[in-house]
Amino acid sequence: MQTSATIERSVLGELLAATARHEEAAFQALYLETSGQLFAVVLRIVRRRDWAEEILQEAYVKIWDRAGSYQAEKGAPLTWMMAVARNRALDWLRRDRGEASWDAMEEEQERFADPDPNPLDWAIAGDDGRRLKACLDRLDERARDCVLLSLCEGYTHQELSERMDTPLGTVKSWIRRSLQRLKVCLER
Amino acid sequence: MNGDMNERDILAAEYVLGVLEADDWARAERLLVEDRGFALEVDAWNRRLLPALEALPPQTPRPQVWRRIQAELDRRREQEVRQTIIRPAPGRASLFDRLGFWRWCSFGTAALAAGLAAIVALGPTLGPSYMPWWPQPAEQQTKFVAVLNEGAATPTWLVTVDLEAQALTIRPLNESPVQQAAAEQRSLELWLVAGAAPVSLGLLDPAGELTLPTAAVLSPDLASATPALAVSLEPAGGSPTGAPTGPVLYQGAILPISAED
Repeated sequence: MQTSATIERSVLGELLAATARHEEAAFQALYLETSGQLFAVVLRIVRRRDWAEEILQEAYVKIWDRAGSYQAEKGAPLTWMMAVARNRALDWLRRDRGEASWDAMEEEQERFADPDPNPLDWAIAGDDGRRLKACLDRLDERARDCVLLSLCEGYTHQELSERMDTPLGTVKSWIRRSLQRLKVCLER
Repeated sequence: MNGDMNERDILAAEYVLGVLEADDWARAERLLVEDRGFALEVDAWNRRLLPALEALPPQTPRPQVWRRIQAELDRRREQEVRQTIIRPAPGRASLFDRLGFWRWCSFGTAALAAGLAAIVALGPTLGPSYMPWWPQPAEQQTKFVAVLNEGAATPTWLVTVDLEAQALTIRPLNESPVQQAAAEQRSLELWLVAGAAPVSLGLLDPAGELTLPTAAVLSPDLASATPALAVSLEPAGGSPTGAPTGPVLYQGAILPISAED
């Protein structure tokens, strides 16, 4: 019997397959269904709405171009789409941030209207998200904080070291060990 | 269940996580293209880590984002058209944007029937190869999507139809307007408009959803007519007459997602 999650997944899969055939009606439907999630992902990384909107626009054009390369091995359709959008945002941080200095981003961080420092609402995540949460909960607290800061906000090793006030080498080994433990945990 | 990862696996994981500085990032991007094993490992880490991001509450981008995406697609299509000799479409590639076609046939809420009559009249002039959903005898369309708009361009409902699975699903794209209707002792009723008289498909529930097995009435209509869906505001309990009695608030064309078999 199909759960609503599997039905949702197959609707998005259909829309993505139709997008690969360059059917614009399906692509618009795909955008309407998924842009809220992708925008949240990008906004969390770059903080400013105008930057996030530009990145989102580029991401969807990439999705239009590359929909034919999607396969089930890449995960659920939404996972693949989030990867495209997130990758563009992380790339932007490294290449296009340019004049947007780290100070400007710090300002944005304060202005970013999110009173909740821990924005993740696991109740709305799917089964895969909750499985990961169970594995994250088994990590040491500071290591888990590092993983979530980079996963959600795109912090690099250096930025984690500054934010957690911890030597770079220590942070790198926390990350490495956490990734190994997550891999084992998820394989269960 | 060995947690030991070699250097390449770690690089893939760190690349996905986002912790790599610019130079390592660039190295990973190159490997992604050159090394298939690395690319597969990156896919695996996307599958492991990214679903957590579904726990981020959605945020709404402004309408101009979609307009700019559309503008980019229009630009590309114009380039394609200039480079292509216009010839009868074999059934899949269409030189007309289906959504664009519906855009310049914009419906007013009172003019739904008139709008449909206009489409049907245009059909024979343009010819079958320019009407993407015009009956093509060799094809069997089985999957469809409709976006129901308020007015000309405010998408409010998403509808998917699967004739093979015999199912039609409608859901609201934002907050369900159904509750507001209920508060005023009204209901929202979904109609199939394909042919002479609109056919009621039922009332939308408080969540704004309706899941129907599609009755046999849908399949011949969707495959051969120029169907649309509409939502009208009716008294509580639905139209007493079997035809829409209240204003049509939302409407949209049913468009095929060509099914490959």
